[in-house]
Amino acid sequence: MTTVTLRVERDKEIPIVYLQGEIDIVNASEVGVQLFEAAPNDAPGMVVDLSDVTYLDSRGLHLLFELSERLRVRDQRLHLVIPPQALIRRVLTLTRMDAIVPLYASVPEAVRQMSQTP
Amino acid sequence: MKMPRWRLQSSLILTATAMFAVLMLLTAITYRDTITRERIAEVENAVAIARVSATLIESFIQDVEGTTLAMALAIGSRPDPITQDTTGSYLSTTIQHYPELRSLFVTDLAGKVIAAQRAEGLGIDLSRRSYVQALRSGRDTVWSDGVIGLQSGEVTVAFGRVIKGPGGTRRGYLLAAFYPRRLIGALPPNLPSDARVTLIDRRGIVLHTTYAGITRGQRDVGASPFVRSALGGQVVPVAGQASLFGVEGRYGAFVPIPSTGWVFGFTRPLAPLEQRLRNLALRQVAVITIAVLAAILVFMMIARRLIRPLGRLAETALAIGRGERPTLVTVEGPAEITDLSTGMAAMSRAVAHREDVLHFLAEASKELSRSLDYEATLGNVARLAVPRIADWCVVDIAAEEGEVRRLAVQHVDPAKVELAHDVQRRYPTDPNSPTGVPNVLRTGRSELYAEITDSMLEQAAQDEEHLKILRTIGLRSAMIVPLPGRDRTLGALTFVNTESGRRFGEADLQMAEDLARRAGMAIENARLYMRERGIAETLQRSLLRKNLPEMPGVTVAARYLPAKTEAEVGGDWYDVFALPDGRIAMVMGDVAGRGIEAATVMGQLQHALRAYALEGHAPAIVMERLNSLLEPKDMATLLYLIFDPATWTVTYANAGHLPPMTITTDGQVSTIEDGSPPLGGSPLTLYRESSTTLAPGSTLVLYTDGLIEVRGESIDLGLTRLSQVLEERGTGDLEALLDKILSVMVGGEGAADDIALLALRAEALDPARLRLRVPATPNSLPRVRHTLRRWLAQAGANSEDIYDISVATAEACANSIEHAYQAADARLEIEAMVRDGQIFVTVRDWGQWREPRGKHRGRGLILMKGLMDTVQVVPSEDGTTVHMRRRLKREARA
Repeated sequence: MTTVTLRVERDKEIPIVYLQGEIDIVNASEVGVQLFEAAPNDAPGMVVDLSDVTYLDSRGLHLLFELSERLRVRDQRLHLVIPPQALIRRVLTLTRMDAIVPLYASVPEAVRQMSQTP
Repeated sequence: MKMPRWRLQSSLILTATAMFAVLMLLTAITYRDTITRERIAEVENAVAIARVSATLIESFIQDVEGTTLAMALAIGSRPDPITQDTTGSYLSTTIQHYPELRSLFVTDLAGKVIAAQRAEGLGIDLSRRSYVQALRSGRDTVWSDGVIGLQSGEVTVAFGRVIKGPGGTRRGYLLAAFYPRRLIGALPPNLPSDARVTLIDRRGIVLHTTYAGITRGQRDVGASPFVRSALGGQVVPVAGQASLFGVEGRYGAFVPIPSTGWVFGFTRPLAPLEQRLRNLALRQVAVITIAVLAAILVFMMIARRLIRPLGRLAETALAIGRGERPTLVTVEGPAEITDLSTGMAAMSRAVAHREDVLHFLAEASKELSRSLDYEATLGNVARLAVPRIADWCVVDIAAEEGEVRRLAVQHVDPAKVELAHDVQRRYPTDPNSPTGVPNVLRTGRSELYAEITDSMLEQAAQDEEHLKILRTIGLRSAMIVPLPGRDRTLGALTFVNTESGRRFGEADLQMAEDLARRAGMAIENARLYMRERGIAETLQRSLLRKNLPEMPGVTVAARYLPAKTEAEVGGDWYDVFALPDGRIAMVMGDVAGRGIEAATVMGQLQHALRAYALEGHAPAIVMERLNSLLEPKDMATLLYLIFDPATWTVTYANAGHLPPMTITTDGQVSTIEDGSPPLGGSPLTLYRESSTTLAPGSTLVLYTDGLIEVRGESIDLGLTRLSQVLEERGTGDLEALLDKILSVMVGGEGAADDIALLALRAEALDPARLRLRVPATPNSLPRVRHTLRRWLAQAGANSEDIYDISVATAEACANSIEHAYQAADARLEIEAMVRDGQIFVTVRDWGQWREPRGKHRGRGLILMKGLMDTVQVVPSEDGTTVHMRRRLKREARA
């Protein structure tokens, strides 16, 4: 049993999803569904904060990749927030996730980047 | 007001006494009357006698007068001189006809006797006698007074008459003398012997009396008022006074005799009369007494014939009233008594029957409420009914598909039970029959056959053989009543009388319907209860069925022991599960109450607790939320405890539950005491959260009150006993420990209340080597990760090392689970070692290794290779082994 909590906030029309806990094989697909539902059609994209995620493996990477693919179909962007010292950052860089999805150190920065570049 | 109770015998005696008194009073009242009347009658009778006697004397006197007249005429008319020769024989002839006369003679005018009936006395000169002088002085007739006779000396009375010749010349005097004694003696001889008669001349001198011993001097009685009045010409009655001589009272009369001016007295003494009258009264009293005594005797005899049987019947009635069953012998006696006796026998039988019926109903009700196995119960009810209610009793149950199932057959003669089954097998009841059990089941209405006739049997019989059997059975009377359910008829009870010949009536039918109603209710209740209990048990089983978490170094064991005597499930439950972060949650709770309600609350609490716990809430917060979840009527004690194997801490909140106990490896027992009020008390309760540390190898024991509570004993005794068991056995095998606890605390006779018991033992992991075998399912991964993390921390890895090695190991496991393995019971083996500052991880499965496919699947291997120093996949025929190695950063730094 693995748990993660998901909290959605909104900055103007940009939804910001705060994830907390562990994401693994047990809950990855469920988290993916909930993340996608958090993004309305008219938003330019969404910000997902992974600062408080203590565990993330290839299943988590897979769900983030799928999420960015589905958002791109709707012409929406995905910005991830991961502090530079976070343990999981290495997982993202190892798998070149950072080439597909931009990583930001803080939520305000991620939001600003999204609202500035249409 | 309370009437005195009189026995019939006493009343009869009292009545007779009263009657006797009344009769005596009447007698007393009439006695004086009777005496007076009798006395008057006697006096009148005496007067009559006196009158008759006086008349007789009168007639004698007139006879004397008449006879002397005729003689004087005869003598005077003769021409020759009057001499003895001429007249003497005539005189003597005549006197022979008058025995009363003493003498008859003739004197000359000078008064000298010239003829007599006998020759003696001739020549006597009587001239000086007063009566002769009266004649000589010119009177024709004269009566002398009493004179003393010359010769006899006896009182004599004389009558003189002049003898006249033709032409009226006086020739002499004819004299007749007689003794008054003789005259009296000539009176009728039947005068009463005690009567005294007295003849008194006109001077008041006694001529003759039957009084004895009267002297000459006493002869003058002219002074007596009676005599004086009688001499005056009146009849004078004497009534009780003393009359002539003596002082004694007498009765009778003094009667005048007109022709001579004499008085005749007749009296009798009063004393004998009084005596006689007294005797008469005494006789009357005696007769009355005898009559009353006879009447009492007759009463008594009648009473005895009534009272004895009545007494016996009364005793019998009282015995019946006391609830006894006296034998009623036919009481002999009058028709009323035998009628009463017969009536009482009938009443007694009716009472006994009624008692039997009530007794039967009570027993049947008890039987019906005793067990939930209604089929066995109905069989027992049938057994109770025979032979008290009927000779046969058959129970039929309507099965689901319109079929009728014969549940029980009971008969006074057990041999007939087999016969009944045989008949039923050979001639099964037509389910569409317009009468009998099928009809009762269809309509729900009873059938009563007070008298079963042969034609009814003929109608019911299916063939000749069947009819013969039916006749052999000897059916007399029958009734069939439905077993009513809530929405349908559940079955039917059939009662039949054969041998006893008893007939069922309306009262019997009512009783049977009453019984059937109770039985129907019992069946419904039993079915309902079974269903409810089934639900509760299923619920409880589902709540208690746990997959105890498996974790290296952590052993968990649990027991649930339901109460032996309780039919319903209790509200005790335990739960144990791993939290997402690898900590272990332990729950021990007890919902007040039993049955489906308690089980439901238990289920709600358990699921809510799991949900809150998995969301990561702290124990005190979980408690507060659960408390706000409970409805006001519910109450529960609850202990929620989290054990963190990584830090050896125990964090807990206790809502009124018994304190858990810990035992260290050296046998030290202590309780974890801190607590708060139970759930459901107040919605505002704040729950305390406390924590403590567990020494490696310690055992934690959680339990419900059923384990330590013994009725009538302090709970401290139970707690002491439990800690003693733990001290002695707390360090041994955990399963054996729980068994020992139950056997010591509960004993052989079973638990009085439900008992839940949960124990956990945590031991330090081997710092050199970790070995895990887990099911090859995705759910195993978090546990593998957490255990690895715990072990790595123990081995001195920093958080980056821990994260990286965890991800790499998880990827290796996930590959095995996702691609290599399909079998349900497949397992994975993970082994980790630390040597020379390097961590060696081996993941082994028994499936086929496949190269990762798809666009993104390669990430797992990329991560493994990126995070570890070396990664080596060794496929073989048995399975695949992944070897990984990484040098710890700490080591590098050091």
